[in-house]
Amino acid sequence: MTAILEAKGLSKHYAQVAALNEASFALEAGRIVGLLGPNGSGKTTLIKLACDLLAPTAGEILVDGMAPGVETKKIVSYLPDRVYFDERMKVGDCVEMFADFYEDFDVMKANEMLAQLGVAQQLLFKNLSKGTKEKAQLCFVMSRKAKLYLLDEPIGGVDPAARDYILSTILRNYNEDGTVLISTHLIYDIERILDDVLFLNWGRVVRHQSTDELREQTGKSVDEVFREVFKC
Amino acid sequence: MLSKLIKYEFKATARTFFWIYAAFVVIMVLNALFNPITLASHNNSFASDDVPVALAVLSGALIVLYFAAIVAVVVVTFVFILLRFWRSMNGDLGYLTLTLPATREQHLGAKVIVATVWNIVSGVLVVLSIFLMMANTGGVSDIFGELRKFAAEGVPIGGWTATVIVLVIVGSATGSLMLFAAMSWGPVLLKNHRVGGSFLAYIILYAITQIVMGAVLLVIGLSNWGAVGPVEIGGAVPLGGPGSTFDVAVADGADAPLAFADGNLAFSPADISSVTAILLITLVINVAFGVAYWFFTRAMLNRKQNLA
Repeated sequence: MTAILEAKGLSKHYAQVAALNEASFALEAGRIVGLLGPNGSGKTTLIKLACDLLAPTAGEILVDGMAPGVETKKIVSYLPDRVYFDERMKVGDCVEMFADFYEDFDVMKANEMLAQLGVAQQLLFKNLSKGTKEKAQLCFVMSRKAKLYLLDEPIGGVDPAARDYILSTILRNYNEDGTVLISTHLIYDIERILDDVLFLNWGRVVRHQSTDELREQTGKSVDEVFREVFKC
Repeated sequence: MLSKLIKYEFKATARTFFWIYAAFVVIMVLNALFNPITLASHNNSFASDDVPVALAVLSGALIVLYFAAIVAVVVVTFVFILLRFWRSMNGDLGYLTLTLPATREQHLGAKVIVATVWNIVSGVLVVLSIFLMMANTGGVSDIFGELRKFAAEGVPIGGWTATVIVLVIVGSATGSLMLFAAMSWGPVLLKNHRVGGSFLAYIILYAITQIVMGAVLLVIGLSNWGAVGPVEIGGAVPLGGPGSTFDVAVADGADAPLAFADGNLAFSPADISSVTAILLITLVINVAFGVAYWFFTRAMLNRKQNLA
């Protein structure tokens, strides 16, 4: 079976600094994977490479067996660590735009989620609060029936109540045949929803296994293992 | 996909351009309607000496406002096209733009088409406003009268006009592509000073374009010097010296086909072919630069520089 996301000796250098250093791994379909590592470990770079936002310095990254491009963008639902909508657009126009560009976008689902969030279609994106913008953006991303969800720091910088909302939104809405890759360094909050973990440090994969296996092997929680591995 | 990208590019830019153009049209109409100096030229009983000071001041202010508005339309169109490209390809919006299921070429194509349309709309508005201002003094019919006279003398006005229209369209596209090339090259040129890099890139590309275009036209001008030089046309005074693209001669002899005879400007067959050649060559250079900038921009975009 083809891995949904596969890296083979993947490296990315910025000037002289290696953000990713010969990383290799393969993610199976239908899993929720935590991409875990401290700041600067290469998490965002890895996701950007998978999204075709960056070109690798060496090695390759494959999404469903394909190099990143138009075909992979059709099956990848990406949540960046910032607001990526034109803030002068109305929320309803953003829904229309997603429906126009992504065949797997479920308009009904998006409208339902936005309504639950109390976001009116007529509102301009810039008029939403920072937290609501992030949640609304997640609604758009999770309303796609994607094969691969790449969520970059979805719970970074939000309060604990918003974290619960975000995690439950991800769990309730993702395509169960798809894979969700969530990057974060807030392990404690996210541990309970993860099937697998992928630890990155200095651009290298230092651990890739199921959370059950990790707990059995170490007798510790993912959070505890993380603190040990990345001890300063 | 291209049509969808064009649709959203228009949507994203239309709101701003609508207000710019609406403001310009208001100033243009105000000028045409309430310019008392223009009105005075129509009405002998309303001689300019009798124009009340307040009206004269208003008239002056309107004229200043009008020319400021022309500059503003051109500059704002340029700046807004620049900002839109920067934000949607290099800024935070790039995270959405570049993860839509479209190629970078399709994005570039959509942006060039939309920018060209806005350039042309702003150009048409400025020309219309000039016509509207001249309409009050009968200047428009004078221009068309002169053009008809030229056409009767065998000057291919229709062909030149068509070429100029194509040149304006191609020139607008090439101009936008040069801007996009600079903004795609900038982040590659100076990785830690993306904006500064883009300015530098624009200056370099602008200089190259001007040098090549100037050199080509100079070569043509010099080669024409022998063929249509002032020596052939007795008493002719070349305008602009040997480097000028074509020569308009002043002569009092009826034998000179190219002359300001009785105050009328006339073209000799050689000059007609010179102008035609200049127009076509300028068009070819523009197309060549447009194609070069397209491939250059595409290559820069495909280097996938990290977004800020």
